[in-house]
Amino acid sequence: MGKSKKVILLGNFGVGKTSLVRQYVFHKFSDEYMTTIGVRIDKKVVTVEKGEVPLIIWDIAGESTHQKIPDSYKLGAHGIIYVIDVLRPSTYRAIEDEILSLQNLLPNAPIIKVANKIDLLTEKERLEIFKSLPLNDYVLCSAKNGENVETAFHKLADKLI
Amino acid sequence: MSAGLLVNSNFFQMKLKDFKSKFLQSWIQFVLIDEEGNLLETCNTLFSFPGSFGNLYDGIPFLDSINQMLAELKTGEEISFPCINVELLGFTGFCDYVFQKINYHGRECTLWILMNFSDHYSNLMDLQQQRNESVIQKELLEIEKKNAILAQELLEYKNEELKRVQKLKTDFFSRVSHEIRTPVNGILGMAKLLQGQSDPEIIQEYAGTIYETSLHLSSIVNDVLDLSKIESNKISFEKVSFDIRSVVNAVAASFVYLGKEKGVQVVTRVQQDVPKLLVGDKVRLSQILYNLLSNSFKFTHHGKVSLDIQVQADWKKGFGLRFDVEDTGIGIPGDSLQKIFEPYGQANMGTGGHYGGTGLGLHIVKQLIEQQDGAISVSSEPNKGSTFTFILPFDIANDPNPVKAKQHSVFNKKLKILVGEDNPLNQKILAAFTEKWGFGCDVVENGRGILEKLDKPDYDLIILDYKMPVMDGLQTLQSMRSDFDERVNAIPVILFTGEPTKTILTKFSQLGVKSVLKKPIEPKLLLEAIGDIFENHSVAGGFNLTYAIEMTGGDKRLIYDMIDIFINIMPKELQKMKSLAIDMDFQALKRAMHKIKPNFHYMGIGEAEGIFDLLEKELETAETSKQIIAKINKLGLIVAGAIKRLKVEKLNWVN
Repeated sequence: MGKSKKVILLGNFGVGKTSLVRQYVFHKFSDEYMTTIGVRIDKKVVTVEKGEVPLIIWDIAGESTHQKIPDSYKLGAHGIIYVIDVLRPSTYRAIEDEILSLQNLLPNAPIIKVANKIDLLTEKERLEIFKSLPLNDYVLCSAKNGENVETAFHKLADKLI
Repeated sequence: MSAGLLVNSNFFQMKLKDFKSKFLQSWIQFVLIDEEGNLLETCNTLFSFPGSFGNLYDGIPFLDSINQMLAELKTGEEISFPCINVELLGFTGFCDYVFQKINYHGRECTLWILMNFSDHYSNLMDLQQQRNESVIQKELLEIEKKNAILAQELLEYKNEELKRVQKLKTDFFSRVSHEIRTPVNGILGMAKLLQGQSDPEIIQEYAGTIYETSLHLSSIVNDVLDLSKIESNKISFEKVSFDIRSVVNAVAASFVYLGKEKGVQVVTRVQQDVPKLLVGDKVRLSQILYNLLSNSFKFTHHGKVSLDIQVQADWKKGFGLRFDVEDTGIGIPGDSLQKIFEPYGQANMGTGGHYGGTGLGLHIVKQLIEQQDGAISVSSEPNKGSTFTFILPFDIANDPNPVKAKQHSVFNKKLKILVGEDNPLNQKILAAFTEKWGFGCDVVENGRGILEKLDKPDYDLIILDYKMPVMDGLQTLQSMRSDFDERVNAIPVILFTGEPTKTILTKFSQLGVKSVLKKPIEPKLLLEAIGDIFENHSVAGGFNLTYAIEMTGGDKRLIYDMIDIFINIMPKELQKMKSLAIDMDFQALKRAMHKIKPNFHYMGIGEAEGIFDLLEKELETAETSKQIIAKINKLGLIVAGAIKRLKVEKLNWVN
């Protein structure tokens, strides 16, 4: 087994970061929204084509004007998953700047962009929304039904080995 | 401060230290870890490590993920992590973590300080939960509100659009009723006048007027029927192989007379790289071109109407042709430009009254183009002219045996035609036109009549109507195929029907029908169909000036000169060729041929061009002149026939 990798989950509050981790690690989902404060850490060993890699996932509370993310949370991160909510434009309006500043802070950490809650969209709405999203290459996920959740983490794990 | 208090303060300070220590011990745990991650000491305030716990880096994911960072800390340095969700060894809550690198009994160690702020962070979490929920709720409400407004606006727009289209339809129907009523009244009036007339000249004149008016009526009815098909998505497109240049020539030719009358030139240019044979819907392409040229002619009173065709480079949808129809007409004002492709658009613009027409043509054109995956646009400047540009996708057909331009104008023998048609007017039309083209014609009223006539063996062609009393077209053909010999069944058949559906086309094609034409009878199409069947029999003397007209833009003087030159030089040139052939000076003969060959192309004498091609090939290997002279003699016959006819044609081009 390879060395553990620190993965941080970032994105606005309410986009479903905790739900993604719960679905990925424990295969559970709750419709009830429970805000996260601070950080919750979970571990899962992922098996990808190149081998096994233990991911230590830092589920970090969404930043707001009242709650700034401490710098120490991000330090030493090997990979980043940036999550948006496809239904709330405020969660991806500034994504280009966010990604840029993360690339400056952690230049060697690959970033996977995850568009969550796609279970709430029809096929037609998906197409329309994805045309309007800034940037591209999102992994379209649903923490609720598990669609593409493993794909997102495995895609990152692939880049970390 | 009193002395007594001072005495007691030492005692009090001692107690305070104890209290403080006891208080801090209740919510702070110290854990001492060596460099490898082994537990050295701990105070067990929040939880205690069982003896079997092992290495802390391996057992606690948080420590595992920061061990690199801890290794890099220097003595005296510290790093802190506030608000960690902790679930460890029976303890659940929120802690702030501080890690300090210290020297403990001469050994480098990491002191992990866990401060239990569970109460404080739990309260904070409740507040944060409420705040986040309220922000999310507000945002979603705003989105819903925005969507509701958009939906309302869309609904209002659709309502307005519906009302507008409804009004346009009402206007259109009143307009179409008028457009239809006028020719119908005209036809009724002329028919009334015809009754009791015995003077053949007057009868011919009235019949001609009825025919012209009926054609106009037929085009209006066709437009309305086309629109109804388009609106109900019932239109389908054929994929047949066709010669694009001959389609363009045929459409352009139908405007030459109108152009002459109005003093407007019609010019067509097809770029050389446009393939000769394409696969697509030839009939719909003709309809689109006819409608666009007709529209341009309607609004152009001087100057020219041109049609340019080129390959559309780098088209995303594959191979496509770009058609530009440009005129020097009255142009279209900017505010009307967007509306001209709308159904009933012309009626809406108020031009219908002055220029006539239903205002459906351009809408039909747009639909026909878009439903074939093409696109159309228009640009215009008032008083300068308009340009309609459209792109249509085609497939390129294989052309293993390139054919020469067809010449339907003359046939090598007087065809004898047997016509089965019950409608007296159609009988007259067919008889009159076939006679005009120099054919003999017998007309019978039904299929039985056809079968009776077939006992005589001298018919070259049968024209049948599908619906006839006593015995219809289908029964007639079936009977012919089963009861008559090969001689009768070798006679080609052309069928007329009001509705050429796929089933009818398949059925008659299986019965060997050469061509199925749609009613009402279009003499031009009938002649083309006859030409298609008998094209191999075209005689010496046929010519076709379409290319010359296209090349000169219809310049009368130039065309006259071209014909004149051909008539004057060709006999001499042929004589010269013959002499060179007799002398077996084949190199000089090739040069002479090369010089005059284009003249045959200008005059559209395809048969002669074919002989030139053969001659050129033969000259490469010829050892005697016998075959060469025979071909030049044949050429001589063709030239003599053509000159005879061109002398008459020349008079049409006197300026």
